[in-house]
Amino acid sequence: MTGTSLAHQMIVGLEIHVQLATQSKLFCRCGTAYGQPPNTQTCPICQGLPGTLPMINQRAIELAIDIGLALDMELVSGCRWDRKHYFYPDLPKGYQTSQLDLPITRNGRLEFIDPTEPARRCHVRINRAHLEEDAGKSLHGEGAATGTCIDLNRTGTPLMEIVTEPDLRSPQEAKAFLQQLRTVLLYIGVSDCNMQEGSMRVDANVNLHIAVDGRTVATPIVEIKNLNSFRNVERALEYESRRQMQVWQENGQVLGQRPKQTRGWDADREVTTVQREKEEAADYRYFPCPDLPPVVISAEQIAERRARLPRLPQQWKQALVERWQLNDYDAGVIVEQGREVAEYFETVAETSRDGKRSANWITQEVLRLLNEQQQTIAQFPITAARLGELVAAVSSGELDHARAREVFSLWLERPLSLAEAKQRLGIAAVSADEVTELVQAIVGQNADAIADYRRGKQQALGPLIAQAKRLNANVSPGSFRAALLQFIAEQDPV
Amino acid sequence: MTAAEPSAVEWTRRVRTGEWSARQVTEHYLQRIATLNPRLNAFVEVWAASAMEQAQRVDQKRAAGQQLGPLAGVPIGIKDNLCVAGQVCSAASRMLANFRPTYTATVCQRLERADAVLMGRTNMDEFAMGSGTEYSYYGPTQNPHRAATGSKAAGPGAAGSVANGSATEAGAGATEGYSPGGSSGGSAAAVAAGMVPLTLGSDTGGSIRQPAAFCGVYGLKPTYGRVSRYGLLAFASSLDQVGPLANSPEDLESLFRTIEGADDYDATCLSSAAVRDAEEALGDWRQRPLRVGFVAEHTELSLDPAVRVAWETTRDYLQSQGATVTRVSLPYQAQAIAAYYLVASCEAASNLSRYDGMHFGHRANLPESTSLEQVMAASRGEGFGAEVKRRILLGTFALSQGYADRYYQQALRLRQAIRQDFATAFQSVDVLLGPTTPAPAFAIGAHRQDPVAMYLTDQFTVSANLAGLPAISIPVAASGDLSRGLPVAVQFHAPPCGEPLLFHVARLLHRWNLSHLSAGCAEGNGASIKDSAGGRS
Ligand SMILES: [Zn+2]
Repeated sequence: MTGTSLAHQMIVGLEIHVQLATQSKLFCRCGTAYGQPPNTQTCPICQGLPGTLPMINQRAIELAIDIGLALDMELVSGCRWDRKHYFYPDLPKGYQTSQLDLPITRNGRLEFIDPTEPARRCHVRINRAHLEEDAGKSLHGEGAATGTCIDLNRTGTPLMEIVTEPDLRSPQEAKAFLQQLRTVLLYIGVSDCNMQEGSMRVDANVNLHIAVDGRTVATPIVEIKNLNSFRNVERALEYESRRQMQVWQENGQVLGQRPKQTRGWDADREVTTVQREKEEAADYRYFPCPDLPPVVISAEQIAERRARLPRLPQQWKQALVERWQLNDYDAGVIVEQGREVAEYFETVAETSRDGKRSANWITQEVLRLLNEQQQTIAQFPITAARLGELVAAVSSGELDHARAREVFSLWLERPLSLAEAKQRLGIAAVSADEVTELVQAIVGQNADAIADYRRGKQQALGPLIAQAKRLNANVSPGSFRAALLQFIAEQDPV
Repeated sequence: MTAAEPSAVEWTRRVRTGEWSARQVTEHYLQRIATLNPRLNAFVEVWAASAMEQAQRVDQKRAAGQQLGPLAGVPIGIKDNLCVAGQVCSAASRMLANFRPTYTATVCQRLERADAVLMGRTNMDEFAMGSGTEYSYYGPTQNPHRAATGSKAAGPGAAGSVANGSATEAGAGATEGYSPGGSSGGSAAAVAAGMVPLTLGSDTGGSIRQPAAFCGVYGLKPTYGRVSRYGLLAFASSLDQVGPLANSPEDLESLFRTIEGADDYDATCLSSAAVRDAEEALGDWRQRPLRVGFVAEHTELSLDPAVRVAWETTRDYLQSQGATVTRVSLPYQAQAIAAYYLVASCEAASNLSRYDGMHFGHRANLPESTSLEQVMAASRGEGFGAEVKRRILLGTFALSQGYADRYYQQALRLRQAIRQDFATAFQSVDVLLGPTTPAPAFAIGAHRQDPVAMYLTDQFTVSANLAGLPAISIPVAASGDLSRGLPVAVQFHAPPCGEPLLFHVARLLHRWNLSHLSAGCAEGNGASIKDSAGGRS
């Protein structure tokens, strides 16, 4: 792409579909497990058989309320169901049951950290989040079948569609917002947000505000559909920004001069391509679903969900800073890893009573290994209680850092107790007499170094400490250094 | 009712006592159907084998000393829009001529649990859209009181073969016979002719009451939400209710009691607590004289003289029995038909969008290369009849962007006003008395050129559906001269869950009918079939 870029601002709003972590579908009792053989999780209701009627899964309502609470939204009692009509083979009823005028939640916000300026917090207004059922899946020429087959396993799976205001200003911001949203949803356990399996899908609405001769012109809005990774969101937006600038420079078309266009992201070619122009778009003929009464949400139900709502990431972060004196950065790193890691940290800190040291072990050792091994914290071989014990031993001076790391490495191999590990590694307590003997032996062999130290060369003691460690691996550098200094002071020829 | 055929309540008594076995009862009615159906076309399919199996199970239960259900051994006809697992359920449409549901409607499950015997599916207007059982893939049903004199071609595809003569005069209609009303015309005709003691129908704008009136039987449209719609092929979800047709108030009530009640599978069903509350709100009507209202606006309409006389004599009779009769006003009644056709068509357009030839129903036979859109369009074009298409088009238009406010929303406001009219009226009366239809049965084909004239035959029935109220059609033995030998009926509306009031009124009038005019009524029932049969031979 060519053309010089004028000063411009990118305007982005997102629509995020999140599959709710219910056991059964939104309007029937079929299961929602991923990856089952085609059409094995269906019944007359989700097959849309004539004469069947929907029944509401109350669990989906609860999870929708949880999302509303977590995103600081207004909860709408008496919210309605609407039918959205279009003909497509993977939509057996000929309409999707969704919510148009009265969504279950609206007017919320979510804060996240500015990716370019970590000290700054951004916030995005959430216009609405509503419940709807998923459609089925068309399988084109897969398996033994020729032509197209339809799998209805996904039909009727509960989705929450979260719609933001156009408050995002860059691809990086969009990505940071999505990461924060995903973190929140994972903390409250409403969805597994697995983008590969399609339980989190993103559509982006984007255009540019371009500064021309002291005024601002807006390019036509484009909707990019079905972005299935955060990286694709970022790259598609970057591409689209360049493309819209170039198109505007070519034809000068501005918002309103052309209908909204729907484009798809081609991840292989790294371009967006036209799917359709909205002027040829269907009229969905929305109308209130006569088979479902409005959903009544009582104040008691809201209070109950609020009381049960798991701690949100920002609350976790605050707790880590206040209770365990972590700095903002470390607290952020731990919280971003998800609720299981934060809970792991909390147990380590509770056991060791040393928050900072616990945080160091987790961010430097545990997370590095998880990343290397592509493991989750649940699969990590060292339990939080055991790591807490180790951190406590370091804090109390029972073990020095180097020996603690030996224990840690051994624990990765086998689940021993701390005592067993120490025995296996020959770690034993060193008595005061043993330290004194060691000091005397080393002083005797290093008269020059002692003399250097006396002349003010502090670093002259370093090699002596290393020498002591070689002679007795169990001696702690701190206690040896203290004993050595005391010895030198006593010997000091005044 | 025909003197020869015992009531459902009587059949159950006989089966319980062992006077008759359930199999004998079933065989008896299978025989009656075999004799009468070729002329009447009330049943589109008879489930003889499965009916005999069900009857045998009832007999085995009795032999084993097990408790029998409240409808033990009673043969029942099922309207062709209620699902029974494994049996075709077509809504009398080519679209679903081969559709066999994999599940059973809640009402049919309840019948099976009550030890009733399901005899087959009864004819209807396609997707319940019509008032004459003429718009059926299986051809029209005949009114047993004045069936066609010539032999009729009936069966799949027969709709198109009916001669398209100008049958506007009663005399000219005689060759084609008279309509049993619709859309539950098969169910009404079957009960009237004694082919089964009981049938189920569905009522979206009068589809139980109007054919009950035309055929001289009792028909009830229950309070919205009292009977589960699960397994009823939807026409207009907010208006549809399943209900009973029978030859006596007792039979009607026993079938209603069997099918009513809350259902997890229908979110619009009333809970038993809600029903209890509504029944309490009816007050102590059993302790005082019945308060009957009649609708002022009805007096100004042009009614068939037979209907007017039936309505007025019923009013006078009730007054003579101690009821107080007052005039009430339903100012929005005149707009009911317009509101009804908009709401019903919008919901129908939505409900019928699932018939696209992809998952179930008719699929057009087209070359592989045809586009998806063309396959769907052709399947719908071939599968649906003209009246269904007319309503889908009307509903689709009324829901389109830019029009929904003008039409659909306006209809909803009217609906609310009609509901309010009734609520106000029921503050001073227990039931409202009026005609079921403006005139007795019409000749088949009489409205063929003018669908709106056909729509107007529903003008007194649609408001009960719009307001969600229970309403009953009760045959009244009118003067045979005025009605040209055709049955006439009156209709009563009651407040929500006021079915007990309606059964009470029905019993009163039933006794009156029997005592005063039984001769005329009997003649208007079974006898006319024999007359016509005689004329043919
Ligand atoms: Zn299902």
